Amino acid sequence: MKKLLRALTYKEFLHILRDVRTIMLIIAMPMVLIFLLGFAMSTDLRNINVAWMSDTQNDAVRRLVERIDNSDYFTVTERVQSMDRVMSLSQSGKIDAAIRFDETRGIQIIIDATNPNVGATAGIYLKSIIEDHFDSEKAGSGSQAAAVPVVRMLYNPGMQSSFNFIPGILGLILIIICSMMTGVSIVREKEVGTMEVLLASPVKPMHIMLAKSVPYFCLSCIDMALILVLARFVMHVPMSGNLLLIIAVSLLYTVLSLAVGLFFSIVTRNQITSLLISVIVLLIPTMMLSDMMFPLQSMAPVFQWVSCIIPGRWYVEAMRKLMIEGLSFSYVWKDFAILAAMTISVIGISIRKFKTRLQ
Amino acid sequence: MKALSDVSLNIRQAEMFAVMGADGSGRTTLFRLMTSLSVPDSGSISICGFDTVTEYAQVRNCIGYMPGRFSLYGDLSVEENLNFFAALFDVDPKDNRYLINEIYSQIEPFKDRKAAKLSGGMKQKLALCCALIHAPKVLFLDEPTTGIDPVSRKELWQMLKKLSQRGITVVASTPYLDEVRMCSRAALLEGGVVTRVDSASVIADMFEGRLEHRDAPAIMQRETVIDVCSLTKQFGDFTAVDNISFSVHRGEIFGFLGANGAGKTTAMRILCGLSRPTGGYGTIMGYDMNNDCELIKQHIGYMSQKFALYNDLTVIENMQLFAGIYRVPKEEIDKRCLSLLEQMHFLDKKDRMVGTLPLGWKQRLAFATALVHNPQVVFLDEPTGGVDPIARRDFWEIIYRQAAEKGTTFFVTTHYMDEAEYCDRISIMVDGRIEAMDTPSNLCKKYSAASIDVVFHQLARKAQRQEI
Repeated sequence: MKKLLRALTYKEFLHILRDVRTIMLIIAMPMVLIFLLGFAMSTDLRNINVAWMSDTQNDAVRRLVERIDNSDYFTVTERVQSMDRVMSLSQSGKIDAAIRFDETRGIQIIIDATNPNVGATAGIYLKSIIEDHFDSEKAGSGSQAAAVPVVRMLYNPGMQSSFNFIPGILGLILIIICSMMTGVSIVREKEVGTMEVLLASPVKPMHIMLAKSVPYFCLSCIDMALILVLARFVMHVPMSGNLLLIIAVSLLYTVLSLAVGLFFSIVTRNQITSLLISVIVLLIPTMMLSDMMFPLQSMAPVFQWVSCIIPGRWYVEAMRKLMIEGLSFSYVWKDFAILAAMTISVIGISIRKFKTRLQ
Repeated sequence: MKALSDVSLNIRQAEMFAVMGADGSGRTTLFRLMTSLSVPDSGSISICGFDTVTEYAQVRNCIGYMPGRFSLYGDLSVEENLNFFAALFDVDPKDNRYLINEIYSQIEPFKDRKAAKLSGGMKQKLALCCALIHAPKVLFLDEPTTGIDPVSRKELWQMLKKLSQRGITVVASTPYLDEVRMCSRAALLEGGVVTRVDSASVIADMFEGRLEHRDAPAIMQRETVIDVCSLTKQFGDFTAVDNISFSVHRGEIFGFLGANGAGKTTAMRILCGLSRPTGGYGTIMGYDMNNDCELIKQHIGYMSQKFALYNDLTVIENMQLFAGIYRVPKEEIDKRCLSLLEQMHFLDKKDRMVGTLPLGWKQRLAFATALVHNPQVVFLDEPTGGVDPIARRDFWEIIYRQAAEKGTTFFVTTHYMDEAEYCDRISIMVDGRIEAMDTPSNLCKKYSAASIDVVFHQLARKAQRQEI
């Protein structure tokens, strides 16, 4: 029995090791994805061009403009003389926002809200810089303190979206890569015709599935380590929670992803179908419904219900709690239990669906 | 659909039993039922006393199975494949080495080579070794020698004979009559029904009726359509085709024989304009092989070894497509397709999806398609591989008729020696060179042999080249 398993597993390792291109793909794909998604998909504000307009020469105003210019998010481009100029600069795309200092009307912020998300965030940032500025000025002079609410950003003080994205990207990459790897493994033998001979031998479905998973599990572990290292040291995501816990949840999720791939491989007839199903059933729903990009709270209840069967949703939730909030196991046990239950049922269904005969 | 109905067979231990059936006759279904890979709707099968439905685990332990198509791991080496199959049955490859020694010793020099890189004959030998390594009591082989050259074929069957002498039961399907004759009994499978079970020689005799050999046309007076002079093709150090020269005349049926790896396919590719020679020159219908590849392709018909039609198009759609590709004038397409289909007795099937046709019919359609632009020269690369004897005979009747009526020249490669005898002239290639070329009867006289089969073996045995 042991010998059989060893031989089966050894064979799978050979298949993988001889297929250099696939290995390259498996290693390179998560790296490319994490850089692409992590850097390119950020919704952080950067390089927001601001013009300003003032009818007085006021030191306080000049200091404020300097402060805005010095911030990470804004670049002050020029001082303008009229609102017409603001409009034309804005229309030609040279500026994204303008600040107008007016003796009588106070401070006015004008924002290009073509992209409402960017606009709103820029507005909030600008406002907070301004309020902050007058707070400190007034504190110095001792005059009445402005009653501005102070908003403190918890866990992600820089409001960096990559912190929020990375768990989502982890969830996406792991499930896609793992399920695609195992997704072609069994169906490939059906295509080549070796399955017919395997089935005509006394080997049991359990053995075939186990032997198929072991090498891919090893590869997945490499992938997972790679992604976590990149997340920590390149994307600077804090790993505030227990690292072992993060790894444990990720491993569970990896096993689930491999099992889902095996399941696709068992129920399909050729590699292309299996891959297409992976993309349609996993990639798109994971992107849309795992809370990675689009907040689940603001979705219609139907989608919130559907999202419950998306493994990525639970993984992303757990990872956010562990990585960013640094919470302990008692806060993620529910996610963990759901992922574990999913894993067991997918494996169970796969074993039942595995046909010991043809057709 | 009923693939098989009311089949009853009784095969004794250590018997060699042949199953003869065309594609679509239910042959593969029968093998899958016997190997417990499928479950019968009614009736039962018992192998070595075990029922294939309820005791399939025991059945699978005592059988060896070689399916019709190549079923080894192409990316594993010869030795790794063998060890893997041994481990599947929990046996040590050394323990049963005695069973396969004779045949494995031939492939052992290549034990580190990937299985995908072996020649067809070698692959089947390895597949047989893998099916035997656990010392099965019953060996099932579904067309083990399709596409294999006659020398390898004979070796494989001699091996099977020895296995049955050791007490192993051999159940094999084959379209080759000489292989059927090596068995003790045979069953004839037609349309899912076993129509006859009898001694193998009686069954084989039923098919033995041959085509009347046509009178070879008086080739001397005819014009030359293929003219090849010291054609050579080298791949690096390896000379696949070594300085061959011959000419073929209009209306001739020219058989191009050789063992696997002798260079037939390479030579054929050059002739069809698919590959350029590295030396020598030749013309096809006056077009130069070195320079006029595109013109050659337009004017010849080519039927490849691999089935190259679209399974999801109907018969007539496939033909119309290729007629269009070969620029048959629009108004003539339908007329020509229909008349070809009528000649091939295909008219009633013209709206069938090609994927649903049995292999014999597919090949007939591929042949019709190769003729759709009225080519003067038609190249057929193993046109009848895997087709049953009756379909093959029908196929050759069509070739004869086409050659006689239209004066079409046929250039045919085949592994069937009875087909070789249907040709007007044949050449036999060994190690990239043409060793013999003449009419079949002259060759038999020259080598004082009873048949082309014997001539072929005499020549092919001289081969030095290791199979690649």
